[in-house]
Amino acid sequence: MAKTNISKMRRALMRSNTRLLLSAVMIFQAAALLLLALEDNPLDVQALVLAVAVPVATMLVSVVMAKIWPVDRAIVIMAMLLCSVGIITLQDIARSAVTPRNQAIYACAGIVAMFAGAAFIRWFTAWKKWTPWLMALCVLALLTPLVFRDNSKNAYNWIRIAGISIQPSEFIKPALILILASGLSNHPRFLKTLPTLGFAALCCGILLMEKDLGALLLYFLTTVLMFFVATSNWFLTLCGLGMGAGCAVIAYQMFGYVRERIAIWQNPWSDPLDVGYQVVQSLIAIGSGGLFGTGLGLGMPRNIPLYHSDFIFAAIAEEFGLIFSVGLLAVYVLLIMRGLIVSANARTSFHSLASFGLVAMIGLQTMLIVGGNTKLLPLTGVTLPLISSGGSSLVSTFLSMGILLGISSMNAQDEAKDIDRIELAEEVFS
Amino acid sequence: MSDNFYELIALAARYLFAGLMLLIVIRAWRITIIDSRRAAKLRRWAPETGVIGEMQVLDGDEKARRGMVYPVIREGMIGRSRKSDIRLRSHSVRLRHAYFEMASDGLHLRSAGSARISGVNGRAKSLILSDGGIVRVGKVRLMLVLTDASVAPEGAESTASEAEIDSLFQAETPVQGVPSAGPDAPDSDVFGDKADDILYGENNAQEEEWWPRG
Amino acid sequence: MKEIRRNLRIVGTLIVCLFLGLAAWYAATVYDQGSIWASNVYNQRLSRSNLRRGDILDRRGNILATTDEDGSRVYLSDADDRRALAHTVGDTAGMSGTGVENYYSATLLDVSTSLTDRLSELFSHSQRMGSSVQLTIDGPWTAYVSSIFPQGYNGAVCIMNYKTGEILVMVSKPDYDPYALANRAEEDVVDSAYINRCLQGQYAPGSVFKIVTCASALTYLDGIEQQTITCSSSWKYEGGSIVCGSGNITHGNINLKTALSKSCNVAFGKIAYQLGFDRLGATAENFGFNYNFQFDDLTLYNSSFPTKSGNMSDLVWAGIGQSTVTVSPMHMCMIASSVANGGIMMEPKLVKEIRTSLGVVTKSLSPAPFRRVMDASVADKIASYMYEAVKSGTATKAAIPGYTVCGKTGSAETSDNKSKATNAWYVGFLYDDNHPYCISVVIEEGGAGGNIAASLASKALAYCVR
Repeated sequence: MAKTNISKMRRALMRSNTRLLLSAVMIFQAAALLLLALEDNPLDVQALVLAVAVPVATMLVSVVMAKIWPVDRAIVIMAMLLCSVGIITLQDIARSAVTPRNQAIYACAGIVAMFAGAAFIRWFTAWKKWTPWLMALCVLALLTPLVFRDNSKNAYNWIRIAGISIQPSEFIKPALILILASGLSNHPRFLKTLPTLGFAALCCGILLMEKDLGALLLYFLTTVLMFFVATSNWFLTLCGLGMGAGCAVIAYQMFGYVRERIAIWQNPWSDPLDVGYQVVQSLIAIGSGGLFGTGLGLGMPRNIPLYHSDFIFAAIAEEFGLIFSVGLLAVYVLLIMRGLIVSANARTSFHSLASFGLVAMIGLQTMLIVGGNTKLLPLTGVTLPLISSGGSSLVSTFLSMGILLGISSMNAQDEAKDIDRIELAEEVFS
Repeated sequence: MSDNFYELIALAARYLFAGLMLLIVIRAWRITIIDSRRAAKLRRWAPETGVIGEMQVLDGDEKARRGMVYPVIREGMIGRSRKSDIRLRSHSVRLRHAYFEMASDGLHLRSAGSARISGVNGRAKSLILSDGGIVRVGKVRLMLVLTDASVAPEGAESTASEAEIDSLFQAETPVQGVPSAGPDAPDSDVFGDKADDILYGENNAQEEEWWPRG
Repeated sequence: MKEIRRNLRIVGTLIVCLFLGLAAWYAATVYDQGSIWASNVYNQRLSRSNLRRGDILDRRGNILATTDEDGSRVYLSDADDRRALAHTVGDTAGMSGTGVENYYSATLLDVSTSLTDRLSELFSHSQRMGSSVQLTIDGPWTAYVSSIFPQGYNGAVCIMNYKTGEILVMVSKPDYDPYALANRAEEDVVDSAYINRCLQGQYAPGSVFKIVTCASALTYLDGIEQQTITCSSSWKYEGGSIVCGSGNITHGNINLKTALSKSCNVAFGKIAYQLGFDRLGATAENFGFNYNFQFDDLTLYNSSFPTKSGNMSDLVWAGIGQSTVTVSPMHMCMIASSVANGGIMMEPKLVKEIRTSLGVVTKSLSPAPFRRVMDASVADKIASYMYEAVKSGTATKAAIPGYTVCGKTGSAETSDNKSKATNAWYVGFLYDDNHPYCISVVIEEGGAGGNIAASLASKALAYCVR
């Protein structure tokens, strides 16, 4: 092999130029927030500040992170784009200016978490040893809402620390995936998989008790998918899915609120003022948007209940339109695709499974909530990752992104080592 | 800012946002395509990335002949099936025969289910190989050769003497590998082995792949 | 690792495909149904708009509803006319869900915002006004039919153009005054007054369903027209019996033509028996029974025919339009129109034209066939039988001197023990190229169809040829 091939390979290692992507994202953020600043009379200072801060933050994060570790810059930029869409939408539609401000603060915490996640996964080499401790931590964390109930929320899965409401089930998601990845890595013996699967079942059980059906569904599906990737056993995977379906049917029979949700999903128009109100208003909002939307600030998304969390997608579809919201879905798809590429390039099964699990969880979550907004699926109470308002969800998703980016940086480093080795081999043997 | 004027700007801005989003999506998509094309090119020049060494066949049968060399990655599977990372086509090797994993003290080998591997002390459930270690998988004897010192374990020079390495090209004399702690009695934990077989979908009696190709 | 990568490829492709499928479904559904969702009456965006609601006009240009300077909605000044058109026009309070005010509220308030329109409005300083909707309805005719509807009875009348599908008249009784909803008039309103019985009413059709049974017989039973059917006032089958009248009317040996024109229950019961659920059900579903009507212009509730095989009684009585058969007056009108139109049922149209405040026509009437429900020859034969019914059968009261009128009467039982009077049905059409109109009339508890229903139809259709 000639020396020129080495340089070709070096160029192959260099990731594509993301400058255009970054510029487009920054222009979008600045334009949207400037427009929002102009909406009020006098100018909205918070929106102005954000109009400068958000694009600058995006650029800084992507540049700094790429300097420290050779991460996949496109993933960073897309994650920051999604987060900023959330901030922009909240700035636009939230009743009080505190919500977008809080979201921006949580986003900062999230960015810190992203860096922490990347550093963590690069350091975390003895995963098998730490697994039991992580498991215990997770179970304890999941149980805390049952003990320290946060009474300001309707669902059972919140706790309150120092005045902030936290949803532990959100933070457990990355931990669960790491535990599963560790427990399923490198073809463990059957008996050794049992504690892992038992732990997953235990988490699902606790979630069931806390009536957090959306998280339950996500955990279950992610576990099943990771199990398949790790063992290639079609039969057992399908059995698992079947069991899950069976449990769903039993839950349908046993629990009234499940039946209610399904009935509303089937025909929300039949009771549009009471139980069907959420879905009906969501559909109306999406329909009112048309192709290009009603325009920022010109729609009335506050008619939708929970417009800032569960139904934020409908609010975005109303104000930004169909083309924009389909583009948003495309960004999620691209994020998932790049995450899967990271997973395929990982060098150990632990990293491969971990990145796959994180990507699968984000993908499934997005599908569930968009389906719920558009009456494709019943509502499940999960939030749109990175966009919905909600500190726990935002920070934990950023943490997951950080882990994914960390794995991508390790992949890049290994690729560089390979090229060096080949170069070395060339020099030795040619 | 009067309401009407803002309304006009907001209406015009709609098209800007939709266009920007399309631009972002298309650009991100193109980046992904370009990246995967480059990765494919890289794979062509360096088919197996992450190679830390190789396994050389000392002796085997006609499908896995003496002198054949297999690249070893950090973690993977030895077997006859097409999805194994070290593919030994000998019929004495199960479809899914053993798993290996690089660790700080050497290459950990573990037999899959009820397959048999043997090291220096005879049949074992799991072994640790250092540079130059020999393992027997089915009828095939393999020697591990690590590529660089950074990956090899500390102080793990090959314990084979010059004469012994020469013997690679002649008759075989076993070189000391380091067996790890593992159940020595080959037939213990049969239940666990059978459970593994079922879990990973390998049939004990099934020695052929579904689509046997030469 | 190769194994994991292979599994990743499989599962990854699955997830990505699912996601792309979701995105595609989302885009298609919203593109398709978005405006329908936005027109929902619970869309509060519309009421907050500072647009003036556009006008609703009838086919002659009479203004049925408009918004005055104060922003309040003004309907026809004559109270009777107003009440006659109340169901068609609708109201702004959301009571009449099928009314144009609700169904077309997005258009009337012109929710679709276009930058260029907004710019031109800004520069022309005109007050923003929604589009106006011109209906195919004939206002004076509707008022007339409403006035001749027998006092004290509930029911519905629909008149359609069978060549184009345009709806000329929709009358539903009991009615209400839309001003009363805006508290501008006093009224005690019956609960069911807000229902447009033409579109939402579901009645047992009784003998008017024999048109469908007859079509089924002509399609599936060869030589049925030449056959002699014996009616000896009652006929027993396994599990029950069917009678003509109360068991006191005997039609003797008759052919199919006479059976339809004299509305012989025994004959059609025997025919239904011969056809079986499969064939009769297939014909009924071809005619639109059990179908989810999805018309652009209006909402039409489903009609139903029992296709899951029941016992013999269900089949025989379904053949004469009892049992669990239900139909809406509009659907029955469409069935009559298909007989007049050579077997092609046209799609019902309510909107003639939609025009924006700047004069741009955004929608105009384009007649479209709904489906072919029977062969042209079958339709012609049934038309001739229905002509016989008006000439010498049960529908003589529907005749209009000098014109060819074809019709079918029906007296639908609504109670098991004859404790309530039957619903009087009449469907028919005027066979005239200049006046291609078909009509369906149902008068609840009106007695025999041949009486008040047929005579109402005669007067109603005679209006247009006067």
